[in-house]
Amino acid sequence: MEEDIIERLYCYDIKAQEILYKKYAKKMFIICYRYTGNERDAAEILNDGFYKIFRQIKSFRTGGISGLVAWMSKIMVNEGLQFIRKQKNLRFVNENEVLVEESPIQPDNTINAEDYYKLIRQLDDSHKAVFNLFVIDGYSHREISEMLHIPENTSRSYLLRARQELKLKIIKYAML
Amino acid sequence: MTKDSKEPEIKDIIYNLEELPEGIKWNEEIGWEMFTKKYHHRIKKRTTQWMSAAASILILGIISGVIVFHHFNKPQIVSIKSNEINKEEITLNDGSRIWLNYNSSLKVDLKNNKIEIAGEAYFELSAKNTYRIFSPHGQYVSKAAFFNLRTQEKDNGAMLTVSKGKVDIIWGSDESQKAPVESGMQAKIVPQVAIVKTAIYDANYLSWKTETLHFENTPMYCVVDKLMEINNMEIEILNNNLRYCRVSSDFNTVSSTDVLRKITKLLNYNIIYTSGKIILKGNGCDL
Repeated sequence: MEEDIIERLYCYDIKAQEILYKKYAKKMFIICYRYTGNERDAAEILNDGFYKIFRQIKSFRTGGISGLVAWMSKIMVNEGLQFIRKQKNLRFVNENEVLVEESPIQPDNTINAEDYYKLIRQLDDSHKAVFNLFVIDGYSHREISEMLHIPENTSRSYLLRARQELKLKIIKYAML
Repeated sequence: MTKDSKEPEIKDIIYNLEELPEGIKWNEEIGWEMFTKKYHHRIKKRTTQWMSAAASILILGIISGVIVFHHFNKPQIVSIKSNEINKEEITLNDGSRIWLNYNSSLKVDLKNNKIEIAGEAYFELSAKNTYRIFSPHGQYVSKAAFFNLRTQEKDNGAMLTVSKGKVDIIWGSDESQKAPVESGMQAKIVPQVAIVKTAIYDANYLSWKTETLHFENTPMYCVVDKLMEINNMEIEILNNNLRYCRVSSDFNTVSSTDVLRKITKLLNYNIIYTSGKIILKGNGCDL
C-alpha cells in the first residue's frame, strides 16, 4: 500500500499527495515548529516543504516509506534553516574560546515531552538551530558546519551554550 | 573540547512527539486546504507545463524532420545579384568559382548542379561536377572548364568565350543536338537562328573582371567600341583619320576617361566632355 503511494506520487497523483500529506504533516509540522518557533511560519514552511517533496519526488529513489519520511524530514529541516536565515535570526560569532566538556542533558522525569519541546523552542535562535540539528535531527558537527556555513568548532561552541541554556531552563522549570 | 555525545533520550522524547504543542490550532485538514490553495494550481500548471514541453518537443521534432526532409529532398538554392556599383563573386562547395559582372544575377541549385544566369558571368567550374547552365537564350553543359558567358547581347543573343576545357551548347530542346565550344573559341548564339563559332578575337572579353585592357595594333574605333561596351556610355570620334589610327598599349584600368587620356600621349586629339557623351576631336596619327 505504502509502496503503491510512492509509485502514485511519481505520477503526481493528487490523491496520493493528499494521503501522504495527511499522514505525515503533523510529524513534519513538529520539525518546522522547532525551528520557527511560531505556528504561522511553521505552517507556511511546512507547505513549502511539501511542495518541494511532491515536485522533487522522482529524486527520491530507495528506502521505502521509512526512507521517504527521513528524506521528507531533511527537506523540512532545510526549510526551517532557510526560514531562520531569511529572518536573520542566526548570528554566529566565531570565538577562539577553549571549550570545556559539557555533559549531555539527562531527562528529568518530572518534565514531559511537550514541556521539553517548549523549552527547546525558547532557546536563542542560533543555539536552538545547532541543538535541534545535532541532538534532535542527528546531524554531525561537520554536517552542521556545512549547513550553516560555520566552522565545526563554532557548531560545538553553540551546542555547549545551547546545553547550558537548556539546563538552566530545565532547572527553573522544575522548580516551578 | 566537548565530546560529540548526544542526548538519546531527549532526542527520542522530542523526535517521537506525536501530539502538537498546546495551543496550536493548525491541523492536517487546515494544512492541506492551505496547501491546495497555494500550490495546487502550480502543480497543475507544472503538469500542463510538462505536457506543453512534451508537445513542444514533439512539434520541434516534426519541424526538424520536415526541415531535414526538405534539406535532403528539395534543391538548395543560392542566389546572388550584382548592381551598377558592385560586382559579385561566389565559390561553390566543390571549389567552382563564378564571378558576376555589374547588373547581373545568378541562381545556383546546389543539389542538382543547375545554374540560372541573367547578365554576364565568368565561370571556373571544377572537375567534380557537371553543371547545366540556363540563360534566356539556351542551355550550356560543362565541367572542368573556364569560360565567360554574356547573355545580354544587343541582338538578344549570347556570347560564350571558352578559355579552358569545353562547353556544350544545347540547341533548342533536343539534348542530342549539342554544339561543343572548345578552349580558345568564342560562340555567338542567336536563338532559333544560328551558333557562330570563331577563334577568340576579342582579347578583352574578360576586361570587366580583370579591369585591364590590352590593345595590339588595334584601330582607334575598336578601342572606343570596347570602352563604350565596358562603360555603357557613348563616345564619338569626329575625325575619320583618328578612327583608323592604330593603338598598341596595355592599361590597368577600364575607365574611358583614363584610357582616352593615356592615348592622347600616343595620338593627337582632344577630349571634349558633354552631358551625354565624350567627343574626340583631332588629327589622330598626324602628329
